[in-house]
Amino acid sequence: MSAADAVTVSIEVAVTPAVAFEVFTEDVDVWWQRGPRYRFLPPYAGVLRLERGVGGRLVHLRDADDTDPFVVGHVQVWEPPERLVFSWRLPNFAPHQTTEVELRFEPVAEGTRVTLTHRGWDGVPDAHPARHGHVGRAFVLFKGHWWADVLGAAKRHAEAVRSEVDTGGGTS
Amino acid sequence: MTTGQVKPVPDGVHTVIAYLCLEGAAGAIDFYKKAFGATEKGARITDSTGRVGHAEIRIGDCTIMLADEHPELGFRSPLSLGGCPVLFMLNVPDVDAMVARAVSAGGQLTRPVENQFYGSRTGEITDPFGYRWYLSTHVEDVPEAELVRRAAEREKARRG
Repeated sequence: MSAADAVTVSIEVAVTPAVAFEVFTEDVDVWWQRGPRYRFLPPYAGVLRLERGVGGRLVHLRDADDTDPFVVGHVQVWEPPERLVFSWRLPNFAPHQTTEVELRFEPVAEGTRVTLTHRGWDGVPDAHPARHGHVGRAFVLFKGHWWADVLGAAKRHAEAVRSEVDTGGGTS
Repeated sequence: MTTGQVKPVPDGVHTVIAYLCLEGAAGAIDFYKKAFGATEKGARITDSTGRVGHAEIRIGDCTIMLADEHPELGFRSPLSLGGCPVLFMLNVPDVDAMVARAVSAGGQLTRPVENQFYGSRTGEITDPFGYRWYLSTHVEDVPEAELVRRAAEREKARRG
């Protein structure tokens, strides 16, 4: 395994692991950024959905009525509020190419440390368009900053939800 | 390609940010937390071997970025270069307390804490990763004329 097979990104979120896990999975479409940098297929909006439990799918629907969504991957480990693993394929992956995303939610003094590892990149050739020309350390940073943006959006959403609860806001 | 209006320098981003190259960045983050009360902010990016590609900490009102050394890119740490050509000024409310804290966290006292003629009380810590931190607390407003007098006196004493 090369040093660039896996990219790990960790970030602290000021909510409990249970809230962090729930927000990451249930609210994925709310916080996951839109646009070509973040979504999988044109028009780069649509709906993202993570189906709960082992075997559930992470899908990108072009719109709410899409009956043939793009399947990013399948849930392999579903252990709330600690761990979540799902497979991860991009639309331009060949049939035999796949990668894996693991999330760990670990309680820390300030809330939760969310650690995401995206592994299996050794199976994706250097010239593959998914790498955008980056190999080795440059790829680790390229993918790492991308995931840092994605997790940063999840963090902002989770902390906003938390503060709504704290201040008695929301619809309750 | 981005769309819409963006701020060329986002809010809260200082013009100059130090980016430290370290041998053992993860350990250094722990040291800066213990020694200087740093907090880690943003995301930490590591590769399959645990090598840190990027991390950010905050000390007081400043962001410092850091990463493990990558000799293949010419990015080398003070330890592997055998010296440190940069000194960080760390302005703190209580230099004695902060220096004591840094020493107990594993820092080396490389200049003792003492009052300086220009009105600061200072001491220097060299951290276990080779960086030098000059800690300072402002203890006295020294008028210009007095500053000149003290400087001359100091120079005279030095020449003997």
